[in-house]
Amino acid sequence: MKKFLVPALLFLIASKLSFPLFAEEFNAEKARNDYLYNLEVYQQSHQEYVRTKQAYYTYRTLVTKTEAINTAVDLLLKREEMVRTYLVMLRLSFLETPLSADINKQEWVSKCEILEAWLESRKPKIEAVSTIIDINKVSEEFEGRFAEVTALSRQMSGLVLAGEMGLMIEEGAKVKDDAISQLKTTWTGDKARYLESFIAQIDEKISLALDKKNKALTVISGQAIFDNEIKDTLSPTRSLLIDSQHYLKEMVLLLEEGISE
Amino acid sequence: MIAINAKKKSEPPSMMVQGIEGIDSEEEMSAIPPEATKVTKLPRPSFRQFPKIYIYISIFAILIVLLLGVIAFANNMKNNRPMIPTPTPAPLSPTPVASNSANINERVTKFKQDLGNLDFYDNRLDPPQVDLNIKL
Repeated sequence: MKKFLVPALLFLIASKLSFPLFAEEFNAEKARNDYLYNLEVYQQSHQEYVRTKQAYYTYRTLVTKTEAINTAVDLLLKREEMVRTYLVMLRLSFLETPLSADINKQEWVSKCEILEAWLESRKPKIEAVSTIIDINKVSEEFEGRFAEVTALSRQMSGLVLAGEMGLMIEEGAKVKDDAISQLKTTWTGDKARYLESFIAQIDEKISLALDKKNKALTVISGQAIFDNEIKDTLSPTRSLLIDSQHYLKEMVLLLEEGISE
Repeated sequence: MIAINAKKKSEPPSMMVQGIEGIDSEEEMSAIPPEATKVTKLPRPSFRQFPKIYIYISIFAILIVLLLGVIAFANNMKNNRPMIPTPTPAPLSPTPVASNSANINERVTKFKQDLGNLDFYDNRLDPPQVDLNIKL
């Protein structure tokens, strides 16, 4: 028995040591699943809170009051945990999306992490709450900062879209360069005279696309919170990026025409 | 009992005697009782007498190596990469103009598709709907 015990123990230690090698990476997809789960938990908790709150307002007894306080505390915890997991998902999605080089990812990731840390640090404080006054106070603290979450979300979503558009413009410029190199060899004689104006037309489309994308980035960086009211910057950002996409589509049409001739 | 070093098993007993300190003649030698001159061999370490801790360390090392091998293999299978790297193909000779043209057409078509696939209304990152009036 003793003969097998020592090797068995050593094997267990070895397995334990090698465990981190098996551990899977926590990526944006897993963070999204985590967030969706917490969202569902929060919604269930909210239903319970509404029910107990109603019972307390109706009967005003000590039992209903205690029940209402307990469910409210539970809801506050679930709400903040759900928002925290949302921020993790937002941050990881932002990090995993390939974006153009003009976007400083780390700056935005840090903003996200600050909010995540703030939410995480509040757990003991919420758990210690036992009176209605404290519930209202703790709840207001969160509600006062939720505007930051919304603003950050809109900015980072806009940056993801603008970053993807930026990559598309870079790729479009490469495709254009290769196509022009080929046209220079095939457009000979009279056609060669039109090549310069053709290139100028295409460059103008790329320039316009780039200009719209940069304007979108300016709108995103100008995002601000005024008295907890958030200016909706995502809609104008989307409009500008759709314009940028439109110019690139025009460039593609020109290239197709040029190649087919 | 006196221990005498043995050179070779095949040598006669007289040749095996290297010398005993303080004995110079045959008479003195014969005076020594035969039990005292009995040749005893030094015990050779056997496998059973080998310290067990070394055996366990060896087993432990083998197990770790095997485990790491299994992990590496599993990771390789997971990533769907061949164990032996495939040789890079030799560079192609310059493509004729016709195939180059087809290549550019393909690239433009692919770029057009990618551009059309950009979705500016993707709401996966939209913030959650939260009750901002939790009060009692």
